[in-house]
Amino acid sequence: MLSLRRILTVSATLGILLFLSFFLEQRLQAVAFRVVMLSGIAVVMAVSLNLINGFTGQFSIGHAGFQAVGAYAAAALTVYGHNRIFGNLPRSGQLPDTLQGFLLGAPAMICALLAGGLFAAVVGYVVGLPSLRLKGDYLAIVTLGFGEIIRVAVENTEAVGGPRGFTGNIREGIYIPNLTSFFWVYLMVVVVVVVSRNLRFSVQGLQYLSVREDEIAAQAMGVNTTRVKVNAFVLGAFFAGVAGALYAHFEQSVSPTSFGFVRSFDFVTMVVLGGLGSITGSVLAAVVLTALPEILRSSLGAEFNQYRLVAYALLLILLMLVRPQGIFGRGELRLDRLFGRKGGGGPAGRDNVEDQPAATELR
Amino acid sequence: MQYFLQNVINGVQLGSIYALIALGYTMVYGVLRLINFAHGDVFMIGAYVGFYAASAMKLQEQPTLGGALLQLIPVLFLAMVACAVLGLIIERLAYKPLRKAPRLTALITAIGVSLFLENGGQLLFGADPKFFPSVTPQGPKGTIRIGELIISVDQLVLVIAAALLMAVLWYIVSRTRIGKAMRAVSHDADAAALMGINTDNVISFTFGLGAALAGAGGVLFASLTYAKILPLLGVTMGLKAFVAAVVGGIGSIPGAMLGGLLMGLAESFVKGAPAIGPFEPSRWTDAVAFVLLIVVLLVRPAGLIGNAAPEKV
Amino acid sequence: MPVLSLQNVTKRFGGLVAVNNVSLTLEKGDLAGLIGPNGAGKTTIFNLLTGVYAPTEGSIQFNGQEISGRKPHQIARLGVCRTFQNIRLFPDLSVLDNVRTAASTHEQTGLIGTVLRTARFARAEGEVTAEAKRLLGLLNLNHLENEDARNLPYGDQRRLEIARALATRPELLLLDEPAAGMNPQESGDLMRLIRRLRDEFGLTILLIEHDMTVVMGVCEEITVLVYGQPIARGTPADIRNDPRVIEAYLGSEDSEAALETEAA
Repeated sequence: MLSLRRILTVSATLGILLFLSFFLEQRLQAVAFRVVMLSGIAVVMAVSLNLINGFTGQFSIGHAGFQAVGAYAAAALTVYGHNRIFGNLPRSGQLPDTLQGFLLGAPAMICALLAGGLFAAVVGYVVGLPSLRLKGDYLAIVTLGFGEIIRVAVENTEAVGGPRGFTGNIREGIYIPNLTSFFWVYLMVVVVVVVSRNLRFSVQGLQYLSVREDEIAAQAMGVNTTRVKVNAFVLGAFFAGVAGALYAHFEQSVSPTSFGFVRSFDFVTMVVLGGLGSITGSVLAAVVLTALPEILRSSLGAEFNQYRLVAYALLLILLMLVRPQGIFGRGELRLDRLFGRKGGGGPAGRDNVEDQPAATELR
Repeated sequence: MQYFLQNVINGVQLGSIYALIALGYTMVYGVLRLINFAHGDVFMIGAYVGFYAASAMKLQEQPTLGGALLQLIPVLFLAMVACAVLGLIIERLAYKPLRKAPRLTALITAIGVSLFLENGGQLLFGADPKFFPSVTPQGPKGTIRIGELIISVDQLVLVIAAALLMAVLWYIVSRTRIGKAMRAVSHDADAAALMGINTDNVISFTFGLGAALAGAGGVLFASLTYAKILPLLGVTMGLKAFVAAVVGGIGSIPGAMLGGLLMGLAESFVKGAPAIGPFEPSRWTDAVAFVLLIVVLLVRPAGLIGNAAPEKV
Repeated sequence: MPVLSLQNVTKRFGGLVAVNNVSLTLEKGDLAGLIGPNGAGKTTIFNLLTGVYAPTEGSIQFNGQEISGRKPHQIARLGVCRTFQNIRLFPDLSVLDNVRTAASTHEQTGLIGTVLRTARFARAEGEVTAEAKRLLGLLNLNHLENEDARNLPYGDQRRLEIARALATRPELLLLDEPAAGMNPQESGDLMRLIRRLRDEFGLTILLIEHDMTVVMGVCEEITVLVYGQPIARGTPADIRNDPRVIEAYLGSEDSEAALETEAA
């Protein structure tokens, strides 16, 4: 488990992320950097939803609700825990963009990520329970309902600002700190992708897929479908909560309207567009669907801006009509295949898809 | 007691609107097994068509109820026709090519259509609210007092109109040829096709019928409750109406009516409930629909009137 | 102690009595058949044995342990596994993964171990894959291991279901119409295979089958079910000559087919 190769891989990943964190934050324009950050957070959301919808075939369309739980729990921790635990952070919440600032914020960020993830996981467990009795569309509408209940609950919690949203403890002048740096967002991207991939290409993961394929046959083969489904919900919700913590400490303000069911639909769209079950597909679709509207916003003039959302909707319908299996199909996109095909001159697309299970890569 | 009855009246009023929308969800789900997320937006379009028609016809407040109805009925009819056409177009362009596609794909397409109508609505109608002109008699002539209880003529007209529309629907579904075909397709589309039923036509008809009811709901809602008409009007109304359809048992027409009514009553009672200490139930109104949904589904997974056949092994 | 013992098992669906007061015992190594006209309750008995339904009355014991009312996956892990009449493979998974899924259920690597790819995980993963490949070899499916299950011809799908069931390491194997849709050549191979599985794996096998050649050729003991009730029980020779059985089959849609195949 702790082989030298593994330690090296982990250290190298951390090093590169840390380097990029400072490099990009200084070099990129504010707008571009914002797109990079929001894309990363969307990737965590889409890949975690793919664990539920793509792997186990459960039909969850309230994922933004889990993000809301994570965002509020994490923000409440860093704000209300300021006096007791995180007293060394500035009350204004503005940490400097330096290594010192990063190190100062790191413990609080780790706590916030864990708190967000764990709170959301508990809620995910509760939401997962109906999945034992309900199937398909019924489950979908229940997950959506849970998302809405969470929103209304937040609106009625004065301690986190109620319907106005939450920026901090205004009475004491303590604000949500800007802990979320590039490093943390993309570290979480790496974690959620690696966890998904390790699960997908393992016999344990096969049990998840078997629930999607045929639940009755899966049970008859000894798969504890109850546990698989609840696990998927808990794991998916955990990472959605992590994404919420990242979001709250990036925007430094959270509002109940940021996590409505319209937002949940965005994540479902990402997963379906990327090809249900495909991890790489979810990643790409999350980036494209986050970046595209922003790019359209900045590249088109003000008069075109109003057509942006209409165009987005039309594009969505068109894509579903033309490629219902998702842009990249349901398998994984592999770089080696892409490059290997170049010489052949075959069209990119379905052929590049890896349909076979990866050889069990054992270390 | 008076307080109780007042809540019942408000609840029935709101519930009638939910029921009108819920019927469209339930019928489409019955024949296609599709949650037509764009249905709530058809309701919104209905309200706008009603508004523009009323403006064009220069509708004004009438001294008598008869005069008011004479003005409202053409508007209602126009909106129903417009929405039926819209429903048919949506079905033909967006859903028909996806009959054999995975369910999730069709659902995403429905979400796409919904977003298109909402954002297109923002573009076409503008983001500022519109108000339907007041047509029915107001003041003392517009209210009926029964003891302490106050019922406005508006409420009465709305509930009666909704009931009439539902009666017509019931007649179509249970007494006509096309209604019989609808029931057959809903029961087993493949078998219906083998029996010589043109399922495509039946599905189109169902979409048109559901959309017409939603359009009627939009006009009634806008003209008789004086609600703001906004491009996003259909989002929450549609969602709650869908929840009502599921609570009643999706696919079941009486289920949609019952679910709608129940939803309206539950919301009205929570909205009207007095505060208990610091807890104000009225602020949780938007959550009522979903709490009701979860409770009902956990007890009866197929809704109140609905039966899910167990999977054959 | 018998491997399987049903005592006075009844299953009602509303007013319909699908299985009526059935008692049945299987000893270790038995190769038994369950026949009867369509709708006689044969598959319902399988569904009761595997926990898809709970019996309305009566008791089902597996190796002396009461299993009625347990969840399907618990029963499968105890050692009762089945195939399905209307094939239920995992259509979008490869042939190998279909079998690996079933083989994985005795390995308790857990989510954490899987995600961290521990050494224990690697060992378990290797064992599961090796076992799955061995079973595919046994059923002559190894050349198809990377094919999606949905693309297999019918006969191969039936055999893949058997391979997948074997991967759960059952003691009692329930085969629901394993020869359906097979040609005489294939069903002949299937009969040899069934006997071989019983001998090599020490299995107890109960099978439902409409193809009388297969039932009479492979089963050592046959129970005839009509309207949810057992009307006869005995060796193939007894059953063939039992007047009650002949009567039960006459007039039912299976009678002609049954008599034809017997004559063949």
